[in-house]
Amino acid sequence: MPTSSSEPQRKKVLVIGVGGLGCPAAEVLASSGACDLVLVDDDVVDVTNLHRQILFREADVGRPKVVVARERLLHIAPTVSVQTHRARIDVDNVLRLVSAADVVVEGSDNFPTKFLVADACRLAQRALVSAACVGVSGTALLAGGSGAPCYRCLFEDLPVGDAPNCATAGVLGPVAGIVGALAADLALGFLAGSRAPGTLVRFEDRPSGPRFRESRIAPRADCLLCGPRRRIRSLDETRYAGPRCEAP
Amino acid sequence: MNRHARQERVLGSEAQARLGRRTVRVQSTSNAAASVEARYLAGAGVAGLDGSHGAWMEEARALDGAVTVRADEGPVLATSEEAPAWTYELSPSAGEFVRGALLALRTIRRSSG
Repeated sequence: MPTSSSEPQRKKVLVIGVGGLGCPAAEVLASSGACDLVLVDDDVVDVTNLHRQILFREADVGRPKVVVARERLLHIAPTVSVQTHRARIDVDNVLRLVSAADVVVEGSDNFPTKFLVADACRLAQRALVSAACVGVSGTALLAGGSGAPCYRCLFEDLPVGDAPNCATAGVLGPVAGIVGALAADLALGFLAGSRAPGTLVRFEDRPSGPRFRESRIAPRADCLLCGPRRRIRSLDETRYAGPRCEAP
Repeated sequence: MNRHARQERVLGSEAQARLGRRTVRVQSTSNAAASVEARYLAGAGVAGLDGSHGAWMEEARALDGAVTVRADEGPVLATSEEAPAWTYELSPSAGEFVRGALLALRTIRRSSG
């Protein structure tokens, strides 16, 4: 049946990295029925993914993550549209992909990709939810497509030296799941107009029990991306050089 | 690398071994949360899962064929502890997911300790 021209277009969420954060985020977004999805990941399912990437099963080992995730999401939410790109995000494709989305959920496990996506979202004026986790804690930050604060107001620039990630420090599957679900909740809240850019949510599984905190980050006057003297006006590949590993 | 290596870095090898000997109960009272809870528990490497009959059973088996899955009699009427209030301020789909994952996390902590 043809779609009525007066019918509002469904919102589109781009999920970058279908790993320990992207799987739960995509599942929550699909289950909400409130948006369509675009998934980007170049990896295949590995047996070591299964403890935290719960869209995948033993029989999926060796298959492309985006293909398996799409199958599972359509099983969970048959009316949702799920597009896939089996590709690694880079300076050549990132602006095209983020420009086509209403909001971007980024769950990669390396700083070069996080900063590349953050800069691209700002240049394309797209809202970004950036999630990260390691060990027993994680964060999700909603950054607006314009105005302040942005991702670099909080994280500034790529760290020097090796930063811990889930490959080196480990991670508990449900912790990644909770942080990924919180990232999806921020994206849904942004689309619904109930969540403001600059919202930071944190989860930590402490010995005393799980702890959840929500706060607002402040704009940074000398921010390279959104400050009055901003210097980042294009994507320069050399700015994002650094080690990469798979999504958590 | 073994399939639980990243979890073992957090828990320790002895705790991971203890978890691998446990049969634990899926406690979530909704189908959506039970599915999330069961998949994270199966992924964590528990020996077995039991709970009221539901779609989570097939999902847990598919995630790890070594996990024994058993339906007990009668529905789970209530979880032993209430979910934190903040989970009810999330969107419905995120709230269900987080409540299932929180129960899995609590079970992993208690069963590995």
